[in-house]
Amino acid sequence: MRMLSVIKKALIMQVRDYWALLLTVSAAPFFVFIYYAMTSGGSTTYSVHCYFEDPVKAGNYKEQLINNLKGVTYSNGKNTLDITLTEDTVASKQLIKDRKADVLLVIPEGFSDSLKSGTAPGFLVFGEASNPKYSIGLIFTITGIEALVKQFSGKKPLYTFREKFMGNSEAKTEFEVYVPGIFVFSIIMLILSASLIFIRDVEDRTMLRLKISRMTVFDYLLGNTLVQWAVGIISFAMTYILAIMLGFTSQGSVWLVLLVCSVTILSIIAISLILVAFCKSAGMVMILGNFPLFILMFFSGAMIPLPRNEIIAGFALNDLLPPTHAVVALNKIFTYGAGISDISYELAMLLILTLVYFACGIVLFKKSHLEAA
Amino acid sequence: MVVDNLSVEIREGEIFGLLGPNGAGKTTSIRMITGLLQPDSGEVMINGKRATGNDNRLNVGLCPQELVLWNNLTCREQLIFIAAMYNVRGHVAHHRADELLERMHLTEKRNRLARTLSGGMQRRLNILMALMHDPGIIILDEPEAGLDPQSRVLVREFILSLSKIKTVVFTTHNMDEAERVCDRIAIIDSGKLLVTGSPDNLKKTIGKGDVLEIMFSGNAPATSELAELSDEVKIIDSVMYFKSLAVIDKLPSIIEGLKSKDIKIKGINLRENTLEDVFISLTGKKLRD
Ligand SMILES: Nc1ncnc2c1ncn2[C@@H]1O[C@H](COP(=O)(O)OP(=O)(O)OP(=O)(O)O)[C@@H](O)[C@H]1O
Ligand SMILES: [Mg+2]
Repeated sequence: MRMLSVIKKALIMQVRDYWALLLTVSAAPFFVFIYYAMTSGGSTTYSVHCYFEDPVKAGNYKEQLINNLKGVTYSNGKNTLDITLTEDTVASKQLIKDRKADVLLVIPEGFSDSLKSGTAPGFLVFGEASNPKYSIGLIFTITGIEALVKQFSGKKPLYTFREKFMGNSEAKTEFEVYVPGIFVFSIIMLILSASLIFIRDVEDRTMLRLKISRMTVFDYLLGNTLVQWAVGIISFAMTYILAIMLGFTSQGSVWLVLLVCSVTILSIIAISLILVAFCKSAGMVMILGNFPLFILMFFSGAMIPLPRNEIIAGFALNDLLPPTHAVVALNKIFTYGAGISDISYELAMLLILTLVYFACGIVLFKKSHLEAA
Repeated sequence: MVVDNLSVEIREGEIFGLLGPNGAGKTTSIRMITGLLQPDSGEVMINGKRATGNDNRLNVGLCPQELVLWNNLTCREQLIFIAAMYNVRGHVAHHRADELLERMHLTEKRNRLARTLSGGMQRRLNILMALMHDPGIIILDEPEAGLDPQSRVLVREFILSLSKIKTVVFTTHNMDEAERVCDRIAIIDSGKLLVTGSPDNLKKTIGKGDVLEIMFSGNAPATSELAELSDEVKIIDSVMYFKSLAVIDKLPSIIEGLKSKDIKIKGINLRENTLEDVFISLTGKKLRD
């Protein structure tokens, strides 16, 4: 079997290129670890500073308000808000600028009078709208204040509502919220080792050998793709296992996760092939390679959530990036325990994109390297 | 046009040399023979069949002029892998790899990565890469380039050992090498075939006789002024080449003639003619430097 020889050679070369292998396989687990250390496995809390201008200690409403704010919790009983009493609004505002605090709540003079008299009490809130934690922190803060007003006025509330968090989203720790992005990142990193292994063979003029021997480009590409697929699976598995050890939970089947990842891995290999088609040397791959790497990392929603700007109905530019669909599919599996039918759209998109990228990759690769051999 | 109207016939079992200076079109010709380059017109026939498809090209083993090795594979690994590229596997491949490594004195280095070998060792390994599938026709593009004298002898003997069993085509710009190794040669220059034949025959028919080299100083006279002195005269830089049968008998009259033309003689060298002289006769220039 020629294929076995290609696989064996690709494995040997991959292991000898151990820096690329190490970087590919260990970057994502390392990120998982850093995230874990940063969040210490807890849920997201919002830092709220409270300043009381109102000196009146009417029926110790102050303590009650604080208790109400502290009483806002997730359903697992963990606190949502981190309350600080401040005497110095200037310092608090500086903390908001530094993103070390999210909300400054100012209780003005006359607040307690209004509470007692039953007229609508007013209060003031400072925050930075571009800080995503501000708006969420504010919602929880208002929840606490509403509870206080209700207690004092004794009136029926204007409305009641209940939050129903979907899937297991509410019980998630901050760590769990971020980790799926890193799973996809672990696959994106494959662009490094895959493009390096191809370009090394280009540098070693394997294409010339292919042209004059019995071996075909198909043999060559398939064998190398299989090896890179294995590297991708290892990279993902290491990341996934470490995350689970650190408390990550998934609602869905591990096999489905592996299926999504497998297709995503293939798409990344295809993109690597396109990249290599534009490069003449390993050095060039290392420079040009940053381009697809960053595009995939930043614009697929793997690392940071993205605005979805649909050019035509149902289609946004980032839908062209395979990891975009992988992120959605994985999230559905992890959070809702989605089955294969629930992610059929994402899987189909992934498959189509993979095929298209592979077709482009093979054509470009042949054109730039095989014909020039 | 790099190669123009080049037509040679290479016989089975012979060692055929393609000679020419840098840029003559040797590599280009080889690329056409191996199918890496399509000629605008004309064709390559192997064993009487047109070598269009891949099939009879698989009977060809190519050692390119530049090193084509997998830097991160050991000597043995790459021989085994290239064998697999031609569907040669298992025992046969392993046995052949060991044997070839032995013959090129690379056994000691068989488990070393190609990139850690010396340049000369890499070149020897490069040659072996052409042989793993046991082709009937072996094409070597400047196999002796970059080798020290000892390795050159090794490679020469290796090529000679293939004589009669294989058809070997190799290129070189080393005339001595070609003279010693080749059954027949073709000399090409600027993409044109100048002559083909056995080295002995060429030496007999072109620029026959011995060669008298006279190093001189001062302005070179026109060749026509010297024509009466010998059968054939060529002046290249500050050396005159007089070629003639029994040129030694003409020595006194040549020296006399030069003296009368006020040419200062700095040195004299008399020798049998070589392929180099054949080349000089054909092109009026030297092959070396
Ligand atoms: N890819 C190419 N495209 C255009 N011209 C080329 C190409 N390769 C070689 N040539 C030209 O063709 C001519 C013959 O080159 P070739 O490589 O065949 O020479 P050679 O006889 O092998 O010389 P050397 O002894 O230096 O190896 C040269 O003038 C060279 O510039
Ligand atoms: Mg050449």
